[in-house]
Amino acid sequence: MDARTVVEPAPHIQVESLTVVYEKPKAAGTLIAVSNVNLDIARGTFVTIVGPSGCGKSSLLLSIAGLVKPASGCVRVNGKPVSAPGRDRAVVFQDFALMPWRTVIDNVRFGLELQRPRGLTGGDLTERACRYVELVGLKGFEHYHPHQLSGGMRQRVGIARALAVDPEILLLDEPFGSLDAQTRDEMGSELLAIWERNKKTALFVTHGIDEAIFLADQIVVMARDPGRITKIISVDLPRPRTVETTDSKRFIEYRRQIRECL
Amino acid sequence: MFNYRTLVSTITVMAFLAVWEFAPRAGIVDATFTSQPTRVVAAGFEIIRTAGFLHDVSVSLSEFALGFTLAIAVGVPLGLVLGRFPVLRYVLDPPIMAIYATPHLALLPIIVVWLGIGMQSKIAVAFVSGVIPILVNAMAGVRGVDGSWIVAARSFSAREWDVFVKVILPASLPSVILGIRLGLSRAVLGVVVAEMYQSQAGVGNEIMRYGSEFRTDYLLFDVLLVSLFGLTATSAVRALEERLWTAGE
Ligand SMILES: Nc1ncnc2c1ncn2[C@@H]1O[C@H](COP(=O)(O)OP(=O)(O)OP(=O)(O)O)[C@@H](O)[C@H]1O
Ligand SMILES: [Mg+2]
Repeated sequence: MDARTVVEPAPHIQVESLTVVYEKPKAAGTLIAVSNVNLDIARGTFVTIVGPSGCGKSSLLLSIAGLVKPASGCVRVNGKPVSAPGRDRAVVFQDFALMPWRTVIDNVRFGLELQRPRGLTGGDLTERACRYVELVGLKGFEHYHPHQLSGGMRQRVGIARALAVDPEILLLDEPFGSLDAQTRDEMGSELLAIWERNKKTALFVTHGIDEAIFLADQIVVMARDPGRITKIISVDLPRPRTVETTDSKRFIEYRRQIRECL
Repeated sequence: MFNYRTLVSTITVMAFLAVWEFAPRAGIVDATFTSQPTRVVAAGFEIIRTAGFLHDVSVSLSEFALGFTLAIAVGVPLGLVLGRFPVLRYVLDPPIMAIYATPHLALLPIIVVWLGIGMQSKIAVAFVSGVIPILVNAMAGVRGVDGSWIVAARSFSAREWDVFVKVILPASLPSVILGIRLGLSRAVLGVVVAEMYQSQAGVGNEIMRYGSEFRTDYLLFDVLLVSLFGLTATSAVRALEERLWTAGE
């Protein structure tokens, strides 16, 4: 037996010839959003997806989440085919999707209430929600409602809500899309810090090339019509990453590479 | 700002009462037809002491309470379910809209034929009057629920029941309460008018009787009583509504 196959762990997420098709609204026919995509993601890695608008990034992410049904092909997590959302995955949405009638702490508690980890009482859930509110730096804002928070703070609530259910896989759909450049950078660094501590597998959709490089172990570059993967780049930059990382020669080289395929 | 508003309202009311009181005294109008605030108050004291008054009030209140509770019990769940399941809505939308468009007080004669002149017919009118705005608003509330909240719930493996309890219900609550407020004043009107049409007791019955006896003061006191009740109940619901809106903005 070849020694290499023995040490190589099975991928955490396997996407096998995935095709996602939507009905065209108010028109006959269908639209192929994702066409025959193959992708393996190793446990504990941070993978970013970049590509032009409409190339099927969200569709790919939501298929992995189990929120969109593939037309053909399949997604496997830990070797098992995905047919619905599960406790092993949590999504951070681009538009936050916070409940306006719930306070910060209750929003973070939302996923916990739905999943109700075995043996935990209501008090335990609140306590756990409280910990995650603190983790994302919102201590003191527990009883605010979403409309009383800034965009960056809202997105932290979204991230805390996903982290609180302690998923193995974190699926983030342009989570910093609506933030200004500076807040974006800060949140990116914080997200990395949290990820490094918890060692989750992260899949992160973004429009920002620099952001994609800064966060990633692997960058998936996609193209549209039909939505497909054009290149997968392994990022070999030391961690923890800092502002200086973005000035390094290698970083600039990665940036050039991605620009080329977009 | 608030004080200014209160001041203006108070002055307006006082001015109205003053004109009402002094116009008959100055001989501009006939008090037999217009009555006067002091007379209405005096009539109030008389009415409260009459034998039938408490009975009439309790009959009207029971009719309203029963009919309106029934309207809430049917309208809210039905509206929520119709809002959630389009197929049911397609089936029931035409009849609901037909009832919505019908001046249901015009159905009074039929209702009386069916249910008699006792309390049942008034309960039915309160129900029919109240249930439609409640149902329509609950339905609109559900349809206005942001789809992204439902997707978020699904992403945490929520089942249909969880989605209903944790998203649909709280998200449409302000709309539901609005419907209850609108239904409330209609139900009050329904009970009074139904009693005025054909009845043996109730505040509407008194109003009709005082009207035929030309006792304007007595009649106006009863009308005042009804509008005071409607106003208080409506304000209570509105206060609840405002608290929900500010919490859920
Ligand atoms: N629910 C849907 N119904 C119909 N078509 C859809 C639906 N969701 C996405 N699409 C279509 O699928 C294609 C891919 O959409 P998707 O949201 O996956 O792109 P994206 O790469 O995430 O774009 P963006 O960067 O703008 O978010 C688009 O052409 C879009 O119009
Ligand atoms: Mg997208």
